[in-house]
Amino acid sequence: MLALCAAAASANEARPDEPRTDSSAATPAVDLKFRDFFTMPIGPAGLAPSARLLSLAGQRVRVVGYMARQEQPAAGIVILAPLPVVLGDEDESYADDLPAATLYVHLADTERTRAVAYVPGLVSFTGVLQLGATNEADGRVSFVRLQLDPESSRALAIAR
Amino acid sequence: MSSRPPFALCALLALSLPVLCAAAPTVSRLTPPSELFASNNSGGPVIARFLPGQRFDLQATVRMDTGTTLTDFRFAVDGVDTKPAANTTSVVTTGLTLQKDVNAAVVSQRAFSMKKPGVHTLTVHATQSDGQRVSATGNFEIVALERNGKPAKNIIILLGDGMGASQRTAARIMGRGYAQGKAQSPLAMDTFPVTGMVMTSSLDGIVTDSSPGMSNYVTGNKSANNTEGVFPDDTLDAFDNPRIEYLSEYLHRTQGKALGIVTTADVFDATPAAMAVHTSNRGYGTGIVDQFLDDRGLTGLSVLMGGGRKWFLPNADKLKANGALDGQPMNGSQRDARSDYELPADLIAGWGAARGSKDAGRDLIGDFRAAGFAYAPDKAGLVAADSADKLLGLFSYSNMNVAFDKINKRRGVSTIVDDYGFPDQPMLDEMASAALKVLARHKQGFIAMIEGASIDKQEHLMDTDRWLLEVLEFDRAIQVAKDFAAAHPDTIVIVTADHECSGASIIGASTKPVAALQAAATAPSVAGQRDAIVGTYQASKFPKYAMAPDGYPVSTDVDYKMLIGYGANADRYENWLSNPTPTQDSQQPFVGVAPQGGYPATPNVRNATSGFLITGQVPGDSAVHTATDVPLSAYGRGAAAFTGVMDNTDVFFKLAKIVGAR
Repeated sequence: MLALCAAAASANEARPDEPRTDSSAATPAVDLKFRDFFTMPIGPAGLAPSARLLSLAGQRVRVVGYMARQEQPAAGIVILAPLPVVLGDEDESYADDLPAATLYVHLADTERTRAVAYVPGLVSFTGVLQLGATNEADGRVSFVRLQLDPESSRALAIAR
Repeated sequence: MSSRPPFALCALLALSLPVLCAAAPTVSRLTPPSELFASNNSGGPVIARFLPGQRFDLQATVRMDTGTTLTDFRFAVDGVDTKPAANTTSVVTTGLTLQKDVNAAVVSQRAFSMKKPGVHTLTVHATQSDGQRVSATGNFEIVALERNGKPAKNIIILLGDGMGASQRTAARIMGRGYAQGKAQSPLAMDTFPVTGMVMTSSLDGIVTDSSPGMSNYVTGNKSANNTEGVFPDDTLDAFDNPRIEYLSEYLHRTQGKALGIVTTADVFDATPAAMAVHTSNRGYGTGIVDQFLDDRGLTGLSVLMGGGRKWFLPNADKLKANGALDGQPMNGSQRDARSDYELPADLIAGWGAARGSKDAGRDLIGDFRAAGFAYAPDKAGLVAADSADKLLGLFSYSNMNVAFDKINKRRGVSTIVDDYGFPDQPMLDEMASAALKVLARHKQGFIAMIEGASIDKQEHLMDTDRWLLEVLEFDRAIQVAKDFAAAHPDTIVIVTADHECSGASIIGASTKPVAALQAAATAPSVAGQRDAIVGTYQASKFPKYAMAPDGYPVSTDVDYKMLIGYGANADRYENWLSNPTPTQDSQQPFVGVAPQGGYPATPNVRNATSGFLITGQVPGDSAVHTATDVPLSAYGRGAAAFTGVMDNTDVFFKLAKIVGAR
C-alpha cells in the first residue's frame, strides 16, 4: 500500500501520461492535482477552493487518481480519489472514507445510464472542469466535477 | 416467554393439527429486551432496567398471516393495560428490515415510564384482521434508589476510549517512571481513591464497539453494537428505534442539569453521540450533529467540543439557490440527506423531540450561534470563548490530530498538524478546562463527558507511541477534572473506558539502546529485532523517559524503551521505534496528496522495509476491541460506590443515585 501511495503522489506531481484511461480531444489539457483543490490552512467556515482550481473552471484538465471501489456504483459517474478507497457500509455507513478532495467524473449524456467497470490502480481522466456544489446520482454532493467528452465516455462504458 | 398461540385449545391441538397453530400471528421481537421473552427463562438476568420515572419505548414486531392486517394492539404491564398519551403509538408495516414475504407490523408506544420499583412483566397483545390474537411476555425492572447522603451536583465522566489496564500501566511507566519496581509517582487517575472493574459487553456481542460501550453507561441498558441510546428494531429508519432516556435527559428534565461533551474525535463519533443522540446507526453523521442541537431542550447540551467541522457546514441545496459559485460552494461539507433524520409523529409526541429535517444545506454552525453558543474554531478561539455560557468548539475537519503530533508542533519539531490544515488545535486538558469553566456557570449542575478518543484510534493502528501520548494527554485532562472536583466537592468524577482495544500488553523492554533499534531496522529480521531486542522478566529494565516542561516525553525513542505487544492485532511490521508520521486517515481533507500522501496507508504496510512481520490473529488491517474488563476509578462525592466488579449498566444507577435521582 505504501508503494501505491507513493505512486499516487508521484503521478500527481509529474507523470499523468502513464495511467490506463485517457480522453482524447483536440484541446490540450492542463494537469490538475488533488492537492490544488483547496487552500491551506482550513478556515472557520470550512474548506475554500484554491485560486488555481477556480481559474481552471470550464477548461480541459487532466486529473490522475484512483477510482473509488463501490459495491453498487451509480450509473454514468466515476468517483476519483487521491488514494484507493472502498465505499461501503460496515458500521460507519455514510461516514465513509471518501476524502473531501474528490473528483466526480461524469460520462457524456449519451452514456449516462451506463455503469463503469472498476479499474484498479492509477487512472487518468481528461475533460472539462466544473465547479460548485451539486447533488449527484449516488446521493452525495460533489464540489469538483469533470465532464468527459462522448468518445471517452463510450470507451469507459464499453469497458464494462 | 415468547409468542404464545392465541388459544389454549390451539396448543392442545398442535400435535394433531399443526397447520392451524402455525397460521396464527406471532411476536418475533418484544422491547425492552428480556431473557424471559428471548429464552423463556424466568430465572435469567433482567436485561432491561430503568430508574423510577425514566422514559423508554415499548415495541413489538408482530408477524401476521398472509393477507391479514393488524387490527389492534396494546401493551400491559403486570397484567394492566398501559394508557398511552395521545399520538404516542404507531403501527409501521413498511420500510422493514424483514424479508419481503413477511407480513409484519412494528407496534410502538413511546416514552413509557413507571415509578414502582421491582421486576415487572410486559405483555403485548395483538389481533389480526381475521380475529386471531397473539400475546407475548417479557420483563423489565424499575430499580429502587435508596436515598443516601448529600447528593452530588455535578458528574464528570472521563472516558479513555479503549483504555484498559495495560494502557494505564504503560502510560505510568512512560510518564512517571519506575525505580526498583516502584512507580516514581502516580498518574492523576491513580490518585483516585476508589477503583473497580467494569464488564463491557453489548446487547449483541461479548465485544462491544464504542456506541453501546458509552451509551450503556448513561442509559443503564444494553444497546446493540453500532447503536446509541436505542434498542434494536425491525425498521430501516435509523432514527425511529425504541429510545431509552439518557442520564443527561433524565437529569435535565428532573433537575435542570446541563450537558457538556468534549472529545478529541469528530463530535459525531460513537462515544460523544452516545451521550445525547438516539440512533441505530453510528455513521449517520448529519442527523447526529443536528440532533445534538435540535434536542438541546431535552439534553441540556451546553458544551460541544471536538473535531468534525465537516458535518456543520452547509451543503448544496441552500447554496444552489444563490448560484453554484456563491458562498462557499466547495467548503468540504459532508452533510448529506441520506445520513440526516426526520422523526415519526409518535416519537415527537412522546418525547417532545424535534422533528428534524433532511437538510443538507443547513448551516449548523450558524444555528448553534443563533441558539446562543459561542463558536471556537481553534485554540485561540477557545481561549476567547470560555467566558460564554454555551460553547461549540470544532477544531478540525474530522478527528483531531493526536497529542504526539500536536505537542511536537508546539515544540517546533513537527508540521504534521499543518498537513491536516489545522495548525492551532488545543490539547484535551485545555478543552476540558474551558468546558468546565462554562459548565460551572450552570446553577443546577451538569454532567460532562470528556473523552480521550484516539487512545482507541491509535491502538487500532497499533501505533504504540501515539496511543501512549494519548493516555498521557488524557491523564492531564483527568487532573483538570480532579482539580475542579477538589474545588467543587459536590462533584463526582469517574475515569473509565468503554472497552479495551488491541489487547495491548507490556511485554517487556528493549535490551538495547535506541541506536541499536535503529541499526536493526536497516536489516529487518526476527532474529535481529525480536530475539536480540525483546527483554522479558528481569531483562526488562526500567526505561527512563525524560519529561519536557510541557508534560510529555522529550522523546519516546529512549534507550531500553518499553515494548508493547498486541493480543488482538492485525498483521503489522514492528521495529519498536516511533513512527515519524501517523497512518493515513481517510477522512482528513488532504489525505492521499502530498504531504499526507507519503504517510503509511495502513499498519500492514507501515515499516514494511524496516520491521519484522507479526502475523495478526484478526483479519483486516487494524487491531480490534476486546472483551476484557476495564478499570474504573472514582473521586469525589459518592466515589465509594464504585468498588468491585460491575456491569457497565450498573454505573448508570450508581451515578443516578449519587446525584439524588429518585
